[in-house]
Amino acid sequence: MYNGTPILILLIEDDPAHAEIVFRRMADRRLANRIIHVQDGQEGLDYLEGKNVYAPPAEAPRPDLILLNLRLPRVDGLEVLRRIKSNVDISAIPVVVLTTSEAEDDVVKAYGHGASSYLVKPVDFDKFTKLLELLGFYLLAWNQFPYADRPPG
Amino acid sequence: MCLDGEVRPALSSDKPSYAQLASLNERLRLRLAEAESALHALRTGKVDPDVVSSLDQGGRPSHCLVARNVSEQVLGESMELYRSLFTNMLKGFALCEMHYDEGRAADFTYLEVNAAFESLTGLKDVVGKRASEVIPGIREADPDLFEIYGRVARTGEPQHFETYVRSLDMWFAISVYSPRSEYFVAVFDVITERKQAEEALQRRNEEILRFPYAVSHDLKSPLVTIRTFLGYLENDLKQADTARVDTDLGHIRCAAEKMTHLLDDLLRLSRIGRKVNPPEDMTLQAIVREALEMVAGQIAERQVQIQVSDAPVVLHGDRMRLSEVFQNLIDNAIKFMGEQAEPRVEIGMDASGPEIVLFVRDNGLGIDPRHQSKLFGIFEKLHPGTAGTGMGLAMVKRIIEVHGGRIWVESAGPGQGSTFRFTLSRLKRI
Repeated sequence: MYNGTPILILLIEDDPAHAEIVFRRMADRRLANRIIHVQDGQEGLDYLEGKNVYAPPAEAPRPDLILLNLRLPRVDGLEVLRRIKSNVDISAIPVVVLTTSEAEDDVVKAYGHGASSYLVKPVDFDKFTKLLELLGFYLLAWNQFPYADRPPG
Repeated sequence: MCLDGEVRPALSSDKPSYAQLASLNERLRLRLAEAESALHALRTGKVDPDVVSSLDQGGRPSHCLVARNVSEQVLGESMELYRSLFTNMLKGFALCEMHYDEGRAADFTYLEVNAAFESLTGLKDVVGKRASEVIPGIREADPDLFEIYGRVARTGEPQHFETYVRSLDMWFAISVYSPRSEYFVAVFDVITERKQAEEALQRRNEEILRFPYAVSHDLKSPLVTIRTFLGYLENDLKQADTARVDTDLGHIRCAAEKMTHLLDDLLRLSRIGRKVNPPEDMTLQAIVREALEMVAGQIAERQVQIQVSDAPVVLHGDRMRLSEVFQNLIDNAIKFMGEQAEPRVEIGMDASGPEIVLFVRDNGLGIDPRHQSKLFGIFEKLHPGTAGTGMGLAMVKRIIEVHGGRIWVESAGPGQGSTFRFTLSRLKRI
């Protein structure tokens, strides 16, 4: 049990407006202590692997959850997912795909590459809000995270 | 058949003597025999040499010889008719003898071909030669063709089909029949252009079918933004949170603009097919100069060195559209220079191959080979973070296709620059 401690989320999303939507919902309700936002696939991987700008001595605490968009610059979302799941240091971190694409192809591939969940961003404001609330609640109150023995971010 | 007057006996009022009658009878009998031979000759198309050599006294040709003349004349006219058909017909014609090796079709010899055969295939002086001589490698490249010819020549059952002949790099519509066992006749048309048009149409259809999906997907993203922030706006107004209201409005405005750009570009893309401007001739240097003026700002900002070849080549087409092609390619090259300390864009012509190819080359970021095929798709952006709707290259491709050309990119990979190459149907050196 996480003792209700807010979690650290890594948000890999190239659309700043969509990133703001996630912030407002999650951070507002203090569902997440911190949301780290990167704007493209390569930066996401650099953060997780501790490379380039995120190489030590830079701080890059391991997130409890990754929210991943699929259409990303430099390295595509599915490729990021694949790399995360094939890196033994970070493969246990749950990855929730959050995207506008409803394409069945994308859904199947995402799960195939090891996504924990696939969410389609609703166009309707109320629905999107509800979704993020539910997500936050589910994560905070119910979902067990790996690496529980290690100090959170 | 004509009979000369001698046959008709001049019957006098006197009773003919027995001798006269006998003589007349004998002459009639001879004439009858000749007539029968002549008839036979006509019927069978042969001429009995014995009959022919029998000339009447007085040097007049016997009716058989005349008959032969007539039959020869008819035959000659008929042959003339077919010969002119053979020579002038538009389809290619080839009469061939099949050669078998252990029961399988191994090769064939051209016995007779018409003028159209030569002009359609480009193959000359083939009569008497084997296919393997005339078209080296045909047996290996197009074994199916040999199978069909061999089968028709053996079974006598005609076949009609369309096929791509690899060894000649052409599409054919062929009718094959067998006039005699182990021989075949191929009557054919070259349909390469029609096949290419069919394929292009097919591709366009596929593109069109994918279109609604691509459109709806890329418009959805800003729509999510607008509707979500409208919701926030409501709350923020209620709470009089002016700072947040400003941000909300900012996001909504931005998203709406994005949608507008997308739709504008879509509209432009669909209009390109209809050439509005009358085509003209322009030198490469002139059109590039025009394009450079339009992107002068970007060039100065990034301090890019531009090199334009002075190759003497003339383009023909819609001036504005072709300028857009260069503008787009140069703009892209500048946008994706990355960290290049000495950015350079080179524009030129390559005439080393069978066609004249124009190119725009840069020493910038390069393109991952895995992404090269997606580059020209509508809405495909390799770097979505950058400005633009991702339709520039799709538009460029469309313009070039409308001008009868094709475009492709070459890049050794990330960090190694890229070269965009394209052809146009009307490009000539001056």
